[in-house]
Amino acid sequence: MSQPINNEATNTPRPSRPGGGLRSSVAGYARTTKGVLFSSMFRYIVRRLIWGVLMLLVVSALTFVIFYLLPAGDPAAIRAGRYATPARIEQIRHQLGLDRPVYYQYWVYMKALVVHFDFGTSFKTNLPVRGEIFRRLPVTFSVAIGAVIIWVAIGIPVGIISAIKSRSWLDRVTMGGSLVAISAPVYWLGLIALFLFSKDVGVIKVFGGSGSYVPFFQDPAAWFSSLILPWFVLAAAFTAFYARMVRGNLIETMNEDFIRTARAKGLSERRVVFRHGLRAALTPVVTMAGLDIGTLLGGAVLTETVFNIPGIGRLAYDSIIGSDLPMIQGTVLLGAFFIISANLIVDVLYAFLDPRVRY
Amino acid sequence: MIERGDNLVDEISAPDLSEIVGRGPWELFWMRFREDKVALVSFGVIVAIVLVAIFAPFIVDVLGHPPNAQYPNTLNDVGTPVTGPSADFLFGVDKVGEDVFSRVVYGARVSLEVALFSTAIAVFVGVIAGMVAGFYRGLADTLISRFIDVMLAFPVLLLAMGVASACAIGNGCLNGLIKPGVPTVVAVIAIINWTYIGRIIRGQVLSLREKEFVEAARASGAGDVSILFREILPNLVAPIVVYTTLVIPQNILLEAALSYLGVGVGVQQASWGQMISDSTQYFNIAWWYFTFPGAALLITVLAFNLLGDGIRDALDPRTVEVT
Repeated sequence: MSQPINNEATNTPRPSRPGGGLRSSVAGYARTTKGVLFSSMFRYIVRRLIWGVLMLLVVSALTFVIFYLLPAGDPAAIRAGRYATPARIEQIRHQLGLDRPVYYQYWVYMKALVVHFDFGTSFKTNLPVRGEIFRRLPVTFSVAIGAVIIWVAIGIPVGIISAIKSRSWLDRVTMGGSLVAISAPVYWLGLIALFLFSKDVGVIKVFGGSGSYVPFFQDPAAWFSSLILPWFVLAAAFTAFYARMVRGNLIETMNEDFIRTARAKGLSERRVVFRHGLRAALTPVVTMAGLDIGTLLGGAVLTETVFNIPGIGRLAYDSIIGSDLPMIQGTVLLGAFFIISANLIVDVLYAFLDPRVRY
Repeated sequence: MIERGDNLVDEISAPDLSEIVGRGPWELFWMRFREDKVALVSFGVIVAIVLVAIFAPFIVDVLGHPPNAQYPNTLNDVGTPVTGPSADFLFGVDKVGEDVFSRVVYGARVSLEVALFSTAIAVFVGVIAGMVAGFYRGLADTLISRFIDVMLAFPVLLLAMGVASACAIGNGCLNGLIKPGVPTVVAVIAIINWTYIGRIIRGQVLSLREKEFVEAARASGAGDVSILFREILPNLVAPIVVYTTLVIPQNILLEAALSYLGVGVGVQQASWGQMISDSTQYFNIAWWYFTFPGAALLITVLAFNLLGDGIRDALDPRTVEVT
């Protein structure tokens, strides 16, 4: 489970510097008239875009340095096979450009990427990295979308009910259960799910098992059947985390003055909770969901590994184990791209969702 | 009303003021914490796990077999682990005929070692970086904060896997500074973890440095170092404690995940994540093989999470009125 590490994000003080990186607040901008408002918002977005591109550059450079200075294996030797002569390995090293200095290799890589949108070719398969990544992107997208729907559809209502019935036995049971879900390793849950429900080896043979993924357009029913277990397993910890977060936010919101005002003017409790309380309580949840979706689109490594789903996460895992540098670079950049984009989108959305933030 | 402890304060204070007692923040914390039965039980569980880790050799001596000893007669003809939980092998055997119970017991060592050391390093680095950034602002803040931004833009697990797989071979990386095995995993987890606490501390210090007591200290001639460590640091103890207890379970899970992905502490040492990974081929035959390491992991992480929640609630002054 990689996400709940982020769970301090909702109460972390945000840097208010303009263009201030991830999750920076957009508060503090000029409160001005409409025309100026639009242009200042536009400038803000441009500034964030430039910073985002810069970050991608730094991430790519760091990835390069990490994987060249600390090689897990010699890519040339791996490529050459087990019985290659040293001369053959040297020849391959030259072919791959690995005998050139790091900065030169980086320059060549970035030039191809910027000019031709070319991510290079895999050291292992000799196929273009771009093609491989785009081929697997729909797979990872399939995994993410179902999990997101499950955790939003279950996590938020459970959180709301727990908050309204705070300190009841129902609240205690669901919050206790959610902590168990957060504490369980996702790949272990995956194995248990396969053990219980997979078609091939499960106790109750209902859903597709490990390695049963088929693309949606090939066979939607089989696609659904193969993903139902990964969706629930991946969503388990997120559902629990969101339920706890919604509960905490809503309880805190319900103690605020404007809720007392709403009650004092005679609104029904239902209206107070759903029209006034939830609006404030769910804003940080939307932020968090955006960031989590961004991270997931970069590949759910553990879930894809345990269910043997050929997505980006599985690709990244195989590339790192096989020292396939261009493929590693491609997947890391893709992951960083989604994380940075999600941050940008969330920060801009925040301004629309939170009436206190104005440009 | 929470009953008061039998402390000196009662004897000192005047009789008519006996209801109003000056209590320090730690006294208040303890008063609230000891009411929290869930947190106390979790603390007990953690102590038990720590004891299991420390006395692993003795426990295994009495109840199991050496963790790396193989018993081929527990496998069937084609090498499938067919010996389930029994009196001889409490948790069954694994794919090479090793005692799962002994390996689960020894796995506690790796898990706790990695989690505690990596958390300690991450918190140390994060607190220093956050204090420098928040206190000096300007260029130092820009550099540190932007670096944290870049670190947070990395796909965490990929970064961890990359560094871990690179350092796991030969003499380790950085000229042998980071050795393969436990030190590598500790370093990897610390590298990706210090950023979170760095951010929190920076934010806290930004507001603390404007407080009157800092001004007073400066007026009385205190230098930067003295202000940072004697005025500001004591005020950071609560967030540091809360963050630390909440991040330890995350790091236990991260260590297990890295081991599961094959870039953990290595095969010589028993690790829960590694065991779950090894069990994958046999999970429909040997249910005990993945169940027990996973359960150990779940119980440990859950105990730390519950304790963390309890500590946070007890330290948060806002919870006084709710309870």
